[in-house]
Amino acid sequence: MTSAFVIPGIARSTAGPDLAGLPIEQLLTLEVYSASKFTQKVSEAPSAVSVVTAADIRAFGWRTVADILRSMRGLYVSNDRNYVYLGARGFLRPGDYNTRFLLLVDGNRNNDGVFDQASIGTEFVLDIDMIERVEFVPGPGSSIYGANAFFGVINIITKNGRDLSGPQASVEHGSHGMRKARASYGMRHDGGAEWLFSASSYREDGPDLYFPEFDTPATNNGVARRLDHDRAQNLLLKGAAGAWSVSLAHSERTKGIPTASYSQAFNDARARTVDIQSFVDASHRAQLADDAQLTTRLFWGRYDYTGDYVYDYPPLTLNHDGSHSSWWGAESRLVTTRIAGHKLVMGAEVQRDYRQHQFNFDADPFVSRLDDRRAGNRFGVYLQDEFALRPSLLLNAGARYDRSSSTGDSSINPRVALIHKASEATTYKAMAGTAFRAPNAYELYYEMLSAGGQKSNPGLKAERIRTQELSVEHAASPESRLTASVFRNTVSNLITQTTDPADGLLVFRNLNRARAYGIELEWERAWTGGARLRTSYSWQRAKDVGSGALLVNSPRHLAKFNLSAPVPRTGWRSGAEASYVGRRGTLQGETGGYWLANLTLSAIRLAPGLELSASLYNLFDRRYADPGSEEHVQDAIVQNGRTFRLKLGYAF
Amino acid sequence: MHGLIIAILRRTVRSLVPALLLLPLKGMAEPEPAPVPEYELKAAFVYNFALFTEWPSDTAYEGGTLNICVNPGSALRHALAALNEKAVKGRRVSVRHLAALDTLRACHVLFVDGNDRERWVQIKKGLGGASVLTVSDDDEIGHDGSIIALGVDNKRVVFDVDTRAARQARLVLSSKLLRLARTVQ
Repeated sequence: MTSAFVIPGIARSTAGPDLAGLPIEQLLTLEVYSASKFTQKVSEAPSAVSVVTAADIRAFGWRTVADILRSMRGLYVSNDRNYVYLGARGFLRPGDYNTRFLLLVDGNRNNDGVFDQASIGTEFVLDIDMIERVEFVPGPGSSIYGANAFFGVINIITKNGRDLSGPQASVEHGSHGMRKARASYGMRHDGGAEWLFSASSYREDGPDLYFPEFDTPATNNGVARRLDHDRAQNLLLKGAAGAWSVSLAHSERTKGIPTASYSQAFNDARARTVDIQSFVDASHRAQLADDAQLTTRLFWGRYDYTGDYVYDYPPLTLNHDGSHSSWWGAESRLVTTRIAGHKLVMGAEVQRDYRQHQFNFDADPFVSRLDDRRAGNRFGVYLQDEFALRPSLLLNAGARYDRSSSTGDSSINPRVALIHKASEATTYKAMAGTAFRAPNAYELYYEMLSAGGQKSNPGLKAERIRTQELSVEHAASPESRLTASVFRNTVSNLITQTTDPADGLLVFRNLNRARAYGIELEWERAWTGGARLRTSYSWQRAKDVGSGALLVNSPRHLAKFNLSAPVPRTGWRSGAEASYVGRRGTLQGETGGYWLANLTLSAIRLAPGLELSASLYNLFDRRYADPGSEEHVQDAIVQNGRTFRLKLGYAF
Repeated sequence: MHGLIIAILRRTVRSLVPALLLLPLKGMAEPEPAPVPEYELKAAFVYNFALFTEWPSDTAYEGGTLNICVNPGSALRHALAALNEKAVKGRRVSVRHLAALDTLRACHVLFVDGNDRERWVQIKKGLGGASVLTVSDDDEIGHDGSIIALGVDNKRVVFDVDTRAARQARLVLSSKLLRLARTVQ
């Protein structure tokens, strides 16, 4: 009868002090370390979401968003020592600048207007220390987010002024001449207004790299000297007062190109790319009623990329390649629970890409090879409803209409998820949906008609994906969660970079259909002592439907293991990470599977306010390589051996 | 612009590094208490809130216990369960799982967190003006009708008090509690 039953007194497992016996004044002075908390309500999301927090970032010594994402179920990365590319569920297309992932920063689209690029390496607009949480929502997200939410949505939630509460500084030092410094200040005032400022500078000299493909006396015996350098600066300013919040960010990243990609002359110190990003975002939250909230956003952004490429025509000539993209837009979203049993989300979004400029020219003598200026509009409206069919059965259904002026295409993408809470502990989900990606300005219009160049294809159509997924989440206790999913993705009109055999030029084409299916298993566990475990295994198979051939850069097996635990009696925490990526096909052959292990030891409080961490990456110095793309002579690009990083932080 | 940023950072780093290297020695000489687990600390706060609250004289204590209720899915339930057998003003504390809402009014203290978001509106309705000390630990529920809202600010647990909600529940919070609260509405 009575559902409130008495909890038997449990034996105290921790031998710590009896906090309840302390006076409340003293409790207020104690510092807490936050317990691992699975983000609430993930079990009701219409997808099997992965979440990583700032505590995980610190515990595992992650340096980039790519480091974070590669620890998540079903994801893997590829690094060509210029940019980092993300793969999901067996798809990582050569030449794709992560256009099939929507990257959101506090809910704002971060993909640029020319490449639709999701920046996850050192070119990412924010310093990783400013990240509070990263969520990855696998599966098609076009029914809410529109274009690019093709394989998944990466949502980066940044810190607020209250998370810092004063000035902070950190310095880092690592292998290959890596050094980094950050200064931040965050504040919350009594009235509730808060603000945050952070600036950081990072630099890495990088190793000299040997590429056997270029091992001739004329090309420095295959050694690219001092060409893997990397340099980045990030700025963030954030403020919130009442219903308003404003963010402003700027970043500049310069990366050397050691691979002589795009048929460049090998080992020329001038080869590099520069990525500059800025955004301003203002949003307003209005509580219209107890059960209705309206959020309105205004945003502006720009992404300028320039590449200095060196060609031996002959003579040796410096070529500048680049793009300027600028955009502004607005979005309104209404969430209401006014109708009993329903949670409605509706919204409209408009974006004006007022500058989409691509250029390419030789510096001296000046020869312009590309000067393509465009502008475009994107528009979308969406509606999603979550309603309870029965108390234990939720239906989440939504659709979005999108129109993009670049191709004149319009597209409607629905998604339906049925969520059955079979018991307090077990939730079943069945999900189906579609997503689309319109070809970007780069794929449509980029043209550089010389050796190693590329030609345009204005006739490209949008590609589409159809997804079906079944998943079950079982929480044996609030500290343990098991997730299993089975999925099938079918992509049609897949936009693929190929080399046209007729002229040797790269070109993007809508190729055949591709299909991927697989299973994913994940187990998360948190112990009362403060240890946390997240481990997963994925099996997947991705094929070209026409030829039956396996897709390149598509491992069949992925395994992840992330354990972070306090070191007894020391105040230190250890973060041990191991990941396995199976054998992957490359354009010409294959790269072997590899295990990678990283270890981080961190002390949150070495002394009051002082934080120290020491990390070893690729602990066992394993030699492994990532597949190259069409623009590389290298079929596979060897990655770093063992490296280290020391990080010291101080909160004043 | 970024030349300037680098210059400033470089200067900051140069002046900080020597200072930082000296700090551990200085800090270790006068150790501060080590950080404590969040859940245990928050549970200790809940117990203290009960100590500093006056329930109306007509409050029923079935079996003579002061009942602290918590969602069986709450991460704090183990930490709260450790309060069993402690005493508040001569009454034994009994920590109870609140799975359904029909026994809501048997609670003297009700702890709610993210697990209760869905049913928070129902809980508020079910409580009416009952003399239940509601303590929330969730950004979303926050001040939405709970008497005390817990939070973490600069790695320390803080709490905000809503005296209007307390008056409606006919509870009297001690002036000490109000003084120590971060905000009082």
